[in-house]
Amino acid sequence: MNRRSFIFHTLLLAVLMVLQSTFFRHLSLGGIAPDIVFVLLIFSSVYQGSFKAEGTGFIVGILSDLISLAPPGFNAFIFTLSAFIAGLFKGTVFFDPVLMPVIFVGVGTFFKNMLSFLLKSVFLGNQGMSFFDRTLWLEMGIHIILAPLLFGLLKAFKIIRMNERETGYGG
Amino acid sequence: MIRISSFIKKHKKWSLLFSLLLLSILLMSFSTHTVVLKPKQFGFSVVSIFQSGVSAVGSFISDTVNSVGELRQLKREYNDLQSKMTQYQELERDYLQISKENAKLREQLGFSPSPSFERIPAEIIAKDPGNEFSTIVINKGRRHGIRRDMTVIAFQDGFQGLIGKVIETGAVTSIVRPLYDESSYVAARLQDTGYEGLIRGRGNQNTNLIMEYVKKRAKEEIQYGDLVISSGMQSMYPKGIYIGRVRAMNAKEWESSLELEVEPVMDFSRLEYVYVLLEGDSSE
Repeated sequence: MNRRSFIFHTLLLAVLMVLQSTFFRHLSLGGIAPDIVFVLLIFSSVYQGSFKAEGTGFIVGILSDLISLAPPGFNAFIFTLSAFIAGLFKGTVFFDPVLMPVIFVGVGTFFKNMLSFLLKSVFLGNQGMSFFDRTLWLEMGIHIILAPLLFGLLKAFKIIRMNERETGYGG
Repeated sequence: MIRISSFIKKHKKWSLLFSLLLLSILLMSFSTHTVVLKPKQFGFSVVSIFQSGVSAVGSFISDTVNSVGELRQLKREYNDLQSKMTQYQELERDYLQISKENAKLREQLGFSPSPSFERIPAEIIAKDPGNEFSTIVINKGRRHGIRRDMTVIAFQDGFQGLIGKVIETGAVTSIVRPLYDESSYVAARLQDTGYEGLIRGRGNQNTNLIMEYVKKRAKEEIQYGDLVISSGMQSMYPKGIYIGRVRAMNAKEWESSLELEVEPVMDFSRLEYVYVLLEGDSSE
């Protein structure tokens, strides 16, 4: 894992973030669109390790804040912390093609929604919000279905090489 | 000083995390004007996640038990409503036909739907990358005369419907907060009966809007399908723009006002083009 790889992962996710707000919006189901960038960030983080992943998460999060109604720092906080935690698992988990991607993305999406709920409550003071609503379950469902597919794509394009022995943990 | 730098070097992963999270919180605090984090509010938010979880499980169990008893009553109501439904469907068909005829006739007579406003057409080029907010991005910005707080409308199925408000302007693009956003509020009025209320979004384009603070005495007069328009109160939005149709009414005994569910006249998922009304400029 070198600096070039960090730049490549960050740029890739940044470009995908822009695509997600335009083309990928048409992939929505019941008004909920998959957060493909978040799913890929989880995989990228496990590959990169915490130190580099939190940098990627912060940059991609800030970009997301700039193109949305979210207050600056909102997505940056969520993406940084999620990427950091996912990065802690670098080199400790054997990634099979289906089960581990599903578990990581499922738990990650739950955690992302929990952080989003917390930040909205504290900083935006939204009233009448519900955490366990259809948005959470629908987004989790969509992400879980997409997880093995996206994981497979990353491996096929050699963007991540999850199960190869790596030395010098980035985290 | 050397100790601090060696500590940071030793724990660079955690130091960077702390710095980035702190930076994010500061950015959020300044942009939302909550400069100091409130510990009580934060604690309450954490606890409320568990509260809502327990409450959801409790509601599920009690709803399941109660639903058995409700089935019989529902069967009776279902039969009654089916016959009424047929009547309403006929009425709805007539109404839509009349609306379309009316729109066509207005066009032929040369009436503009809102003659006092100049409109700037714009295309929707992006939406929020996540599902937490309801951003709409249009391809017109300051260079085209768009300013913050301008009202955004669209035309669909013969209706001039309210879309939302310009929140942020760039040189060539602008961010619009749509009606269904959780933080969107519009002063509204029932077109036929004149009762006023406040429309708020629920964060999802596929769920109905909520009209709150409608006087309780309106209960007998409000009909399914009644049209809701902007009232123009507080001059946030121009008056007379269609918002939606009444689809349900919640009249709780312990509350002093009615709550209506309003289905937007605009289908936001089909929306491609919008118009920004030049009036409503609050000049930045």
